[in-house]
Amino acid sequence: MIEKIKEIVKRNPNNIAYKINNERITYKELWNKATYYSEYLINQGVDPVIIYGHKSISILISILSCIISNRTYIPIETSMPLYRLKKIIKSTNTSLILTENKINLDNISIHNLNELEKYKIHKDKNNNNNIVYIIFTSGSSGEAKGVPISKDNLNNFINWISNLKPLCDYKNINVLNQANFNFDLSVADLYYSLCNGHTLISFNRDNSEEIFDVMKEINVAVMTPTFMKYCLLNEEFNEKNYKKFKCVYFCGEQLEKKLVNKLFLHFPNLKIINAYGPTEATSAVSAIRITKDMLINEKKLLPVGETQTFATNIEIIDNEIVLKGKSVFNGYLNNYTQGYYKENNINCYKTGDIGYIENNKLYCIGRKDNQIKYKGYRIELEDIEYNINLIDEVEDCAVIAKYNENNIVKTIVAYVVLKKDIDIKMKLKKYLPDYMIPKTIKIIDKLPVNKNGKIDRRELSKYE
Amino acid sequence: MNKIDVKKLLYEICEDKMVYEDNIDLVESGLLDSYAFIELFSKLEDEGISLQPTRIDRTKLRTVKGIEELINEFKK
Repeated sequence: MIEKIKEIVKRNPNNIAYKINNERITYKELWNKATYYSEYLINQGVDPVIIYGHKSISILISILSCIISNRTYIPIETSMPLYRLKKIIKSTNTSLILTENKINLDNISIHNLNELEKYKIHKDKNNNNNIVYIIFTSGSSGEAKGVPISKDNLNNFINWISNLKPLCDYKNINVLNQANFNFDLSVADLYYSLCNGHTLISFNRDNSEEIFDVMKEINVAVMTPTFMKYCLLNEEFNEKNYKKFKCVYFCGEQLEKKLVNKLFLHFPNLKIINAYGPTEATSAVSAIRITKDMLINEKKLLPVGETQTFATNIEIIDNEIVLKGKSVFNGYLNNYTQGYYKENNINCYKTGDIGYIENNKLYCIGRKDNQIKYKGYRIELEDIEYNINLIDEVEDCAVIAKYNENNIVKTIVAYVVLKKDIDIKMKLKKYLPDYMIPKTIKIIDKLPVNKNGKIDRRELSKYE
Repeated sequence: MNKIDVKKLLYEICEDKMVYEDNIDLVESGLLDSYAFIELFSKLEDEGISLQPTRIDRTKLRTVKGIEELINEFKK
């Protein structure tokens, strides 16, 4: 991967690597700055490194500097509450945070990205690290769980996405980055763009008008279906006004036929890719071009991949999608084992997704457990319950997701039994990022239980 | 076209009776977050009202009354 980027820097040093708002950086500048940062990281002798912040040029430089210096990076958004961040610091033994933001933490070096030259240079230290990044996702135990992705995993993904049709046909294009860097959808746009010499373009605020100006420049967009749903609310977002827009790569959520229908009405010639994969298997493991004829067949669901282009071995075992091989991580941090196992020394991961393969196409129907996708994020409902129960005034609670007519989560509802009146949402801000805080909190006297003495979630969903 | 019941529509999206409270600030209360915003606009579109995100006064999204005003504006 590093070799690929180096080659691009050599070949097209003055091409723009990254743009956000009115700022831009060329490949040469990015490389030079990242090399400077990487020397600093080597001298600090620290590993891993938390990169704390929102999308910006400095954050991208920090990511590349970790790769150059062979340091694992852990991307963390500023929306992460300190309580959760501290747990991540502890579980990863992190001693250095790179950030542009103000943050107060004990026993850890917080280094401002704009003032690195101030810090003392230490002796060089060797590092045989094989982990490129760790992304933290919601965990059913109530704590974020770390998913380490190795160089081999990432290289396999980069080769796969770079050879995927029609992405492999484009030269010197502009690629949209919608997702934050802590969300592994961004792995697709970031590495596809940088390793192929394209220009990555970010914007800061979802659902703002800004996106409609940004999209005027975009050739390939990597985004969630929900975000496209927003873009399509604007009737002027169409082929006539957005002539450069050629291809969209969807991942991270179920893609509805209704949305694709509308998308083809706005952009009749757009190439649409629907991809699938969990964080544990490096962003995506399968993809398929969605064509108009798929919209008129009898199937309710669109496929998420085709067997000829799987990035790794995919099997259906007891109706569950199981991944094996090069894309699959080597286990969670701190011996958390859910879904991960080895078979003949090959990494395997039971995704928890229910699916099937028919006519060489992969379909994903839903989940086996209480994991949901909401606002593009993957959330374990037990994680929310655990954190609500941390509030002293809470006696008991249960959290359920409510779905729309297309089986897509529309909201999260918490049913709470209280010892004492309290503003739960306010208290939860200490423990959970905003997207995990239930929109609706319903106070009830007692949680319903079934014959086995377990919380009866089906009964709860009937509550007004 | 029948009059659209905005409160009912919001309740379908948020499943929170708070939407029926008078003068509730939908944004401040967290009811109309970015996700609910997309759902609301999509549902209105299904009803034949296309509120254009680039052409609306977003402060009107704070109240049910404001949303009703937007609907009337775009119906014309």
